[in-house]
Amino acid sequence: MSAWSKLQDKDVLSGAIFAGVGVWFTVQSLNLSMGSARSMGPGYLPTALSLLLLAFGVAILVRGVIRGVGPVSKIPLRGLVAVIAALLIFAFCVRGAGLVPTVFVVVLVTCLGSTRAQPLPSVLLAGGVAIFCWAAFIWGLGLPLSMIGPWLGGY
Amino acid sequence: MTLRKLVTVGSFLALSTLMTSSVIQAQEYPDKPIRLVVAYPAGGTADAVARVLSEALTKTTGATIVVDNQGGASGAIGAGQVARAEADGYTLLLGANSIFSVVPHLRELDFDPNADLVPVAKIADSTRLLAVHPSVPAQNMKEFIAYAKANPGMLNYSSSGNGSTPQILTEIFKSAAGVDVQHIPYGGAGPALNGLLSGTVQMMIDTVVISQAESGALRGLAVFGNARIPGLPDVPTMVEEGFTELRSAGWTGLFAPKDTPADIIEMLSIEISGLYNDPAFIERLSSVGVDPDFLDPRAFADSLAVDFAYFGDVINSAGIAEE
Amino acid sequence: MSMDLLSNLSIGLSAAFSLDNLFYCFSGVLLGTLIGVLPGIGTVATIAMLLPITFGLPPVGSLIMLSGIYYGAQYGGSTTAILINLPGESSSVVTAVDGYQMARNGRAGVALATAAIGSFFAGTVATILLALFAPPLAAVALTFGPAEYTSLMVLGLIASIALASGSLLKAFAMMIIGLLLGLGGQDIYTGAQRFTLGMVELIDGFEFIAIVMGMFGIAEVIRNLEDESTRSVLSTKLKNLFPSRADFREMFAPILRGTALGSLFGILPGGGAMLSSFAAYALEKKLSRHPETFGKGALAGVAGPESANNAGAQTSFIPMLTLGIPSNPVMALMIGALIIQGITPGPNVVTEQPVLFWGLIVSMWLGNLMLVVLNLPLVGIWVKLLSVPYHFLFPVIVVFCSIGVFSVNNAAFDVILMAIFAAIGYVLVKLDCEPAPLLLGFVVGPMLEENIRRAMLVSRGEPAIFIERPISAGLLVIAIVTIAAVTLPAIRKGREQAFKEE
Repeated sequence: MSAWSKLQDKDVLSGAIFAGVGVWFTVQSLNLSMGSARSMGPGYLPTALSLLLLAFGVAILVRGVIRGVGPVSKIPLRGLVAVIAALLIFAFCVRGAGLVPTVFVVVLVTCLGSTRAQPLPSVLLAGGVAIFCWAAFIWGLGLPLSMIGPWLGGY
Repeated sequence: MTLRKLVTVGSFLALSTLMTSSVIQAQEYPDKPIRLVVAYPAGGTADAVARVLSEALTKTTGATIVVDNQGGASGAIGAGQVARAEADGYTLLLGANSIFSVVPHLRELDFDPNADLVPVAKIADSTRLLAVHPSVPAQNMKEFIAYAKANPGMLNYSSSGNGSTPQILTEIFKSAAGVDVQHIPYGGAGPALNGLLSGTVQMMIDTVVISQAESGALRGLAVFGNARIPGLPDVPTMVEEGFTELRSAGWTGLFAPKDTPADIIEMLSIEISGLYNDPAFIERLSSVGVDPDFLDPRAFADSLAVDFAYFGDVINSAGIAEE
Repeated sequence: MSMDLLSNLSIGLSAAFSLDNLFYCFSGVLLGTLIGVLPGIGTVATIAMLLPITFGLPPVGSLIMLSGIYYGAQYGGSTTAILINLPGESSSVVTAVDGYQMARNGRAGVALATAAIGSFFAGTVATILLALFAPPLAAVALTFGPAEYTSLMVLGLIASIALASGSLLKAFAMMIIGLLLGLGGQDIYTGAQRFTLGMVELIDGFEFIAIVMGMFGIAEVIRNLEDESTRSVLSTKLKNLFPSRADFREMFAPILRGTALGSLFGILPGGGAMLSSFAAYALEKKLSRHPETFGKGALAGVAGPESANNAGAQTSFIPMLTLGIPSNPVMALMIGALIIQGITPGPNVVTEQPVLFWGLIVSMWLGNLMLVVLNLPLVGIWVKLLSVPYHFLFPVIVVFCSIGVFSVNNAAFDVILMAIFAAIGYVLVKLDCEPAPLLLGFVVGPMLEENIRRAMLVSRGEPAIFIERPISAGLLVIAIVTIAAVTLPAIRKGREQAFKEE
């Protein structure tokens, strides 16, 4: 096996991620006071757990290098990017733009992640979901959100 | 997990049921749900007071009030949240003396409870009881002190948290009585009570132990407050036992973030003072183990200053530091 | 005892079976179910929202309505867990593991019906237990000190490893990440901030709902978008809607065991009910003749945990009513409701308020009954949802998750957190790391730490406390046996594989 294909092994990758996360948590925990075994401080268990995580990460990594489980399958970016972008749009716009326009845009952006979604049905869906969300969440459940936010004149 | 969730459905649907008992006021505040943060977990005295108060205020003002328990760090977590919240009258704090009078003497906080929060109304005083687990052979205070001295470092006491008022009172008691009892902090009075009932600890000072002592599950030894408890007529007060510095009772009160408009605080204070004319409200407050005692914002601020100074003195003279 | 029980139950029955109360119960279950199926809005949120409606009702009526809402919302959470892999709360995380796979195999109807039937059976048995043994059971709960809780949490964590069908090492690593994330926010002992990166939004810790929605619901959406031709929920033809005779035979024993486990764990104040569904899953997987089907749609993997969860929910009323100590946030809200009705829970509530106490117990059973009556007919409608083409369904899931997570704290930050955990969850799934152990670690982390620290204080720094106390030692032995049982075959298999390669 070449070094490059080793790097793509699922165990090697996940082991490296776990070890990295372990290191990060260890560094964070070391800033906290440790206390003693009798009177544990806020850093005692986090430090122990972080080091344990680091050890597990290294073990998985070593196992992957010795005996790989196979490379990770392709990560198609289209769905991932569309869905994450849609969530971020929701987070950043829902207060400013209001629920109805935000939901409309979020549905459209999410649809971009699918190869099957057609333009016209997607727009109809976005409109329908936006109206439903207004009815269910603002009118029905009384969520403290505006229908149309201050950016668009407010309502 | 916080409970402050889309609650307006409540106000929407509850209108029909509430109409019978209340007149909805036609003013602008409050026009959305008020979040009442309780800086202590569910099951404790402050929580019970908050629930009685929120229900009564809901009836008289028509506002939806959501009680949100944010316990931990002796009230610092919940009080800090309110101190950082928008000062629009829609986030209020039900606090007790630990975070205002005690914690600031013990450790540095990332906010100043006495400056970043302003008093709205004092709600009640709370009497506390020193209770022991039935496995402790002592029948009264003298026997208990003798027992603790005979078993130095062997006994434990639970409290609602590091820097909580009951912990400080226990530490003052320990230094006055000359006994050594290990502190075991819990995340609130409810869990701390569980620790005492299960025998993990042998002693606890709090309000929540009173009903357990009345039912016989625990043994009450002394009352922290000005008078004996009606349900426990044979249990003397700490002052009667000769601990004159342990006269302090606890209190619970309502607070708001510091820049909250004065007219909102005024309105809330007036609404709350009105509740004290209602015998049913007084009875409910009493039933959760507190003595109803209203003070308006100004009088409450004065009593806060006195309480703050008192704890500063006793903490310094007893040499208490946080573990 | 039995005469007592009969007279007690008759007090309860006459209190609960008025026309008014039946109506409160039904509307509670209906409202709870409808709101519970909205992803992200779990039991606690639903009760918090609907609590004000009950203020105007008489005490028994208000508690009956609340228990109806409780059961309805809980079942609503299981419904979304099965249909679209969106568990609304920690206990339905387990249901999602096999329930969702059943849905992918075209057996969504069977999974939903099994959940309802298992819940009803467990609820009925737990109600009887509650009526018979409430005070003595409360005494059992009191034998649990910090050492016992610590050992119980350790056992629960070990059991969660059984949730993983892949590598054990990875499951352990995921669990530890969960524990660490769970410790984030302010330390309850000292108020020190941990892992918050100085962000105010993280002072209360990471929002559980954001993590669950991200790692389960959204990550699953992204995975389905990888290759839309193979998305199985719509491509598979729906098989039978209701359980067949063979299904009933298969679910019978798991329901019984789940009920027993749940009833036992539920009486422990502090999160026992939640651990019981994980423990039930581990037990079923261990006892099953086909452990390899777990994680791929095993009926027992739905029946056991759902029954355990509901039995635990029922018996968790014991510490609440007799000790006044809430075992979970829902119980805390119920205590609030009791106080508002002028009743202070505590040791005297049974004797001083017999109508209320027994009325509540009977009404909880009634709530379970209404749940079955209401939800069995609904199964068909829920399953129909799955025949909607996926490219119409997934934008709706994304929007509902966003609104649900946002509404927990009215915080846009939580939606960003969900996006981050969705990406992480997706990558981890691609690397064969399963998210369920991480979520259990997250929930257990704070409780585990609190009890370890307390136990060490009580023992004056002597770790022997965990093996000197018999219950604690027993739990640890079970934990070690469980570890051995799950790791030994894996090690053997690993060795065989290694030899084969040579």
